[in-house]
Amino acid sequence: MNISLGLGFALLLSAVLATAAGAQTQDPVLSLADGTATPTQITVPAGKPFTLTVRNTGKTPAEFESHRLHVEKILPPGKEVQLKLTLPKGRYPFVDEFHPAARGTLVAE
Amino acid sequence: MGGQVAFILWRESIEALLVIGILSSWLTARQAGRRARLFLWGGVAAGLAVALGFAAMVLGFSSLLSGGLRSALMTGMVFLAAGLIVQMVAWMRRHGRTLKREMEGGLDAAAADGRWGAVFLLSMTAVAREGSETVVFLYGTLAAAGHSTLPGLLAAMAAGLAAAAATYALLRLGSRFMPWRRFFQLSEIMLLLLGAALFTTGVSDLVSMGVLPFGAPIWDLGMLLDDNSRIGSVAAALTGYRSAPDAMILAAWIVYWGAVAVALRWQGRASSLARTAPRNG
Repeated sequence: MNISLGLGFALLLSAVLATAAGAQTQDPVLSLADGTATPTQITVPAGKPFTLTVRNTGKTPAEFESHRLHVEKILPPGKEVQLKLTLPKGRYPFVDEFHPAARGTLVAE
Repeated sequence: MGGQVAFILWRESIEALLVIGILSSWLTARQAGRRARLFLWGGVAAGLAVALGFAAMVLGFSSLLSGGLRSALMTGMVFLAAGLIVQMVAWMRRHGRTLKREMEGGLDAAAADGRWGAVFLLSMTAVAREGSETVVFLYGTLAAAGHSTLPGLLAAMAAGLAAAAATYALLRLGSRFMPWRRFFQLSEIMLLLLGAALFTTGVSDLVSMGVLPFGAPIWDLGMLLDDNSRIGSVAAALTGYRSAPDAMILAAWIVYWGAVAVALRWQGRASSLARTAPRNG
């Protein structure tokens, strides 16, 4: 009885972990840190809604900007923003306006 | 790094400087008087206050407004400023020659106050918009600086502010040494382009809020002038340039310049009527 309960719990836990991992690969996270963007290329499926999290992990403020995405967000250090997007096929360049060396591309395919 | 900081400061302030410089030159040349200046600089001061308030909210010191409401306000301000610019240019055209006489004649002080109210609003919105970004940038960059990097950073900031001040001085000098008609034409074009930039930003904001639909780009001039590059970002801020516009951006350009054409043509007709009226009567 106890064993089967433990087994069930373990199964449930692994299922939860699996979905969490799945969600992570689906929903990309971009981190901006004082002039570096990680990753510099993010690939997402075209036409499918997803959430892009942009996080400022640096010490100085950042401004995530992409004219193509119609986004301009100021991020003080330690802050993050969630962008709900559904993109047609294409390339969407972005830049940290406050550190223009940090730039990259969102690719919807 | 230093050059970067100076450049960002200059770029963030150029928009407001253009507006203030042109309005101020215009008020001087037309001898609009102290009262009009009070409205102009009062608008600048009010804009700075709004910028500080917005910056405090972005930095999390104050949660007076939610993020959504704040961006809605920003978007409203952008459209207001674009409208004021077009209206101001139309009005400058009509009163370019007559304002001094009207003022000397003590004509309609109340109507003049109404007009200066628009000057106040325009200078306020111009300063408030980019001002809040500048404050966040300055504050955050300074807060992160260590003892060793602080002097260089302060020097870079001083250089950026000096470049902004030099741009302003150049504009004012231009108004003094250039033939007035030429300066007026030039400032008219700069103001209208700036209005286009503001309007385009506003429409872009509406797309990002989901009010207007998101679309694929119609063309891509990114190879020629990328709007994320240094020069491209200045062009975007001052003219509304986009290297890969989608349908909504294209529509924004058509609507804005169409409205400008209509407003100026209508204004031209009204002023030619005004000019012939006294002779008839």
